[in-house]
Amino acid sequence: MEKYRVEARVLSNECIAKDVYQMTLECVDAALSAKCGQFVNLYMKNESLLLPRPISICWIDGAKLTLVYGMVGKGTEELSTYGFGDLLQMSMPRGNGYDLEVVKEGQSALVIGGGIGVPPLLELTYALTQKGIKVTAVIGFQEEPFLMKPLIKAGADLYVATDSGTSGFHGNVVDLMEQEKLTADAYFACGPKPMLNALTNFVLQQKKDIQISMEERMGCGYGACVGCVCTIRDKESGLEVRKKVCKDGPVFWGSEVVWDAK
Amino acid sequence: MQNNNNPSNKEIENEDLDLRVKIAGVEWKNPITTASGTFSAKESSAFYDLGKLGAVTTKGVSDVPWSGNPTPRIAETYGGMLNAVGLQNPGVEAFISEEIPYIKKYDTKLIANVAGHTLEEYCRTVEKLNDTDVDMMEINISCPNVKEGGIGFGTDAKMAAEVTKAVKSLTKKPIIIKLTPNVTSISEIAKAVEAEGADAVSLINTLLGMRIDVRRGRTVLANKTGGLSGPSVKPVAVRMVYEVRKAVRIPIIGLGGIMTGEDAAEFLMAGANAVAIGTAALINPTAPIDILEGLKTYMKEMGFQNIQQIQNAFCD
Repeated sequence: MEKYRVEARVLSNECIAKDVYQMTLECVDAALSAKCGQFVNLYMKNESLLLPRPISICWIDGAKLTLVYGMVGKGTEELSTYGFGDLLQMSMPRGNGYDLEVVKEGQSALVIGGGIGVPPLLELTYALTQKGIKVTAVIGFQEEPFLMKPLIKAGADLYVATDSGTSGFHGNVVDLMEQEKLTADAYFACGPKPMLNALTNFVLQQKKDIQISMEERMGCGYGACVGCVCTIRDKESGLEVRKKVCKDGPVFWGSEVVWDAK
Repeated sequence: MQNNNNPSNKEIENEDLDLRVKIAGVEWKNPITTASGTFSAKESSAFYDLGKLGAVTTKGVSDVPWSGNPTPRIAETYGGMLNAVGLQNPGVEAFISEEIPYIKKYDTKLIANVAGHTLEEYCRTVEKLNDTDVDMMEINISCPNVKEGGIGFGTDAKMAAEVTKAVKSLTKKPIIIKLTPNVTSISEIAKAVEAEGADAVSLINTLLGMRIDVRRGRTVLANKTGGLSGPSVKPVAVRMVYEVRKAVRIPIIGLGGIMTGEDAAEFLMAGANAVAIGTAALINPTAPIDILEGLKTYMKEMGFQNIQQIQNAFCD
């Protein structure tokens, strides 16, 4: 039988930007099985907060996992109060990560993130550079950027965009890519749906495809409730089917996603 | 009340426990099943042996595939959750070719939950399931998330009776009617379906609810309203099981916010013959068997050796 819940011990938990926290957990089994692009479900100590919080894996380091999360509600507010030594209940890593087999040594990759979609790009960048792939990261924020140094340290050429114009390029990641004429052999992204939609259109115009990590409000996180779905057009049959983001994703090919599904 | 049910005062062991229950002539090895909509054979069986449960109840199946509602479909509430999945399912043909053989590998009873918009749709699905290995059918006349039907049948005693009569005439398999709590008198509906030959009832389906995000000025669910489930609905469910027990003689499958073995015992005392585990399994996939273990622990502590002793211990 597959194991579902494990215990994790908080090693550190600090604020790295406004309402953005970075938490490192010691959790041997989960860390050893984790892949870039997966997520874990964190369970709250406040039992009135019934559902687990799905958080993407930012960094895998031996027996440790680092998560970077936005404080957006009561659950993540509780998370932000945890400190060294606190124990929490967590699921094993869930979902399918990015497929790295699509690029080979010596090729190039563009990894693109928006806001709280930036964290999974860190482990992705590390995994790609380890394979000898040249990585360019394009990250966009409303105002305050984060994870810039870790991305550079992981080996990425970094481009930053902000909506406010306070740091880097004034505008969104797609405009930045267009201006800088950034292209690559493979594309990977994580971020809010409108960004992923615009980005997919942009990449498809270049006759390329892109692996995107979809965001959707989840219930169980293991495929039972069918709460988090996105509409996918099957490449062979052309039929539209609703797939589970938690189980069949969260990473899908941009060309398969039906953006205007009813 | 501790241990006064066990006159010999001998420690009760697991092997002394008899958890078998008979629901509409079908013997379950224990009174635990899954609640429709929260169980997926492939996904759930990755985490526990389905053969440990008395029965498994599948997601609602309809005569043709349904794509369900737009997202967001899930919203958390205080001690509960709202869902508006809208019975997304691949249709009865896929259910027969994939889901049934998959579940039948396990030593458990299989309850197929049947959904429909119209009387004809319910009938077509029941007919198609008639020649399969399904052990029982549960007719969902109570889903609050599907327009034109579902709950429409469950909130009107005459229509609930009509569906029951129609499906009963098509199959010899035991029919469970799943009731909605979104009515003035659930007993009236229960009596109406019993009169038309329902073999059992299950209750409660979710309570119709809604959440508004006041920062965005819009509902959290794309469907606007959804079904409330989880521990916050449990007192309502227990009360309704209790009322229905007084109104009908057929077996009751009780559900609504069961999180522990003692919660399950509460439903059995209220008058249920078996219980279903729903939202708890979304939080923890192994909840149905954890709750079964919890029920056994409770029985040993209380000196109960079978399910009927739990039911009889309620001093009404």
